[in-house]
Amino acid sequence: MPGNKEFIEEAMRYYRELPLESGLYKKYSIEMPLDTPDPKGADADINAIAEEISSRMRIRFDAVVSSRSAVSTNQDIVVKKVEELDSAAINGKLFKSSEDKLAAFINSKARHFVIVNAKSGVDKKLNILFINDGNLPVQILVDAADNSRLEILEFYTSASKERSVVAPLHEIKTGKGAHVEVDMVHNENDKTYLVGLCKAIAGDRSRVKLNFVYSGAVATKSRNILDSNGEKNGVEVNEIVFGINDQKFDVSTFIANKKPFSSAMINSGAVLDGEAYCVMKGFAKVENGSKGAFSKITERGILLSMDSHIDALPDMSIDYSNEVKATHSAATSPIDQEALFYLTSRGIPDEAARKLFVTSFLARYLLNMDSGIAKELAMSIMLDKLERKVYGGKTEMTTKGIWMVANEK
Amino acid sequence: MELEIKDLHVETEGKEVLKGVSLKIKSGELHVLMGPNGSGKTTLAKTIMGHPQTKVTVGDMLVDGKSIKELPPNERAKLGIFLQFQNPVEIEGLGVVNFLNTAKGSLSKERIGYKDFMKEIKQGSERLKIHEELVGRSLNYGFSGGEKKKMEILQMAILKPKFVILDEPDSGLDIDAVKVVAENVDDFRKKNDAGVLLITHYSRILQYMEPQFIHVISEGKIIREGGKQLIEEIEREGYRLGQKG
Repeated sequence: MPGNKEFIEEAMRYYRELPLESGLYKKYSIEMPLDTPDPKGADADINAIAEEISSRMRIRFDAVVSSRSAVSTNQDIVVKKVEELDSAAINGKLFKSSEDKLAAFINSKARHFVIVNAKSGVDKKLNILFINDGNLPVQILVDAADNSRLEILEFYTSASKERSVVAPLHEIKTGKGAHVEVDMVHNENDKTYLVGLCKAIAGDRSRVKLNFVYSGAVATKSRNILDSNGEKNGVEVNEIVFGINDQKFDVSTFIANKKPFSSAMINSGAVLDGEAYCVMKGFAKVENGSKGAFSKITERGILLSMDSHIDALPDMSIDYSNEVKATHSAATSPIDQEALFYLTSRGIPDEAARKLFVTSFLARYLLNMDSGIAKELAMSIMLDKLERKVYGGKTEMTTKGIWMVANEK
Repeated sequence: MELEIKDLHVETEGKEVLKGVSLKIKSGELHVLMGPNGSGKTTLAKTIMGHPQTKVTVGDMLVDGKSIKELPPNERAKLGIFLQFQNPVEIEGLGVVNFLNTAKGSLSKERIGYKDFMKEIKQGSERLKIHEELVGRSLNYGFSGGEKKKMEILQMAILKPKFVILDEPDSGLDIDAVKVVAENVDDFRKKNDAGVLLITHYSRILQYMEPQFIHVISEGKIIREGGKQLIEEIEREGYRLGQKG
């Protein structure tokens, strides 16, 4: 294995040469400081922070993972330090060094592994808290056996006052008829960079739903790959970005229909204020033999300021055109003036009407979450950000009546 | 109370649409505004509510003698003006109940308990024959044309304005729904002593109401005014009757 510096350089070179990072898409790619050294003298009391968050947010976490420690209080979540890991446990992982050097890099740097193996037929709801008190490269492995049902909430927050990188690498597999939802709510502070990678493969008649909420971190780069690899199954990705100040987001998601009657969807939405920037890259592929497949990419954006900017780049490649439904669309605009007039005509002051419009837009995506607690957490964080124009700090769990609506989805 | 429109001239996108409209609506009165397409009916409604694309060049709008011309829409709403939109906007993600609660809270400091509020919505929905499921959905999102119109009337019933401007509440409604909407509006007017300006193309809705004043608008001007008998004339002769003077 090459030395650390060489490995980083090799990883970044490989990464830059990927189709998304070179050529046509080069200008839409943001650089991440992967070579950030660990902050010295980090001595955050992780237990105290976790207890405070748990009490304030009224969430009982089954596991707490930080840069230096990982503890699970639930037997369904196994946390291991990299040196404790039996190599057999990660055999057959979805990311391979030869496929993706960046994944291999995170893999090599990961200090902790979080392993969730759901046995056949079980139904579990798990909450995991991630606190970066330094760099936090971590691997999360989810393996849902046949007919199991998993709902995992991951909440990411920061305790580091110095620049650091959070790099969660997810690898998710589902057996026949399994149903997995992972809700990843990011509220890291403005010293933190987020690099997220996720690969999921859905088996026959199974469902994989990934909900990404990007609210924190000064810059975010994510790449998600979901294969609808079984018959009559479905993969769905909901990505919601809320950026202010000079936050940057580079969000790429690939979905692929590989089997007949499979379904794959990406719903991306971004609300930007200040000088924030977001590029949403949604790629869909319908492979040969995917009779009756359904594929859809929807990208929507709202700009709240003149200096914010969104690039929405949906892309489809359909190798099998018979009996396939495939659509993609993208739209970005300021707040709809007619909607604003409508709301203000009912007595709602202009500023409140704008906020109501924004929260409604965010709610569209959050309504796709099955997990009530994840929905509540995500909306609380974004409402607080909308009110106070800050992120990564302490947030109360309150959505101020926003869900005074029956969930129609 | 009185809403007075005085010699109103209004431009939209640089074009003069209203060319000197005057109207006076007092509490409890039902006025009907009829006229051909493009005559300025909707522009008048939007101008009274304060649509940003309407520019008053001459004239004024007064509530109890005080000009509302410079007030933003929410302040006009606070004075009791309500516009039922011809094409209500759809806002996905904004729950009907949350929206009504926010609007009600903005208009009045008086707090109403959640249970009472929900009861009020339920009763209003039943009167309007609105399917219960609609109230649990996003505002107007995916609603049919008729459902949107009924949702507007439900908002009126909940927000309890003093002056109601109804912009074609009957368009897109089936016969039964026209009757339900008309009866609800007239009932609201009588119970709350509200002044109503009803814009319509069709006389059918008026069968279920008791209009006192009919105004005919053409090319941005009121060309005829009268009582209920004017409706029969319009039915018989169309809007050419204005030329008779």
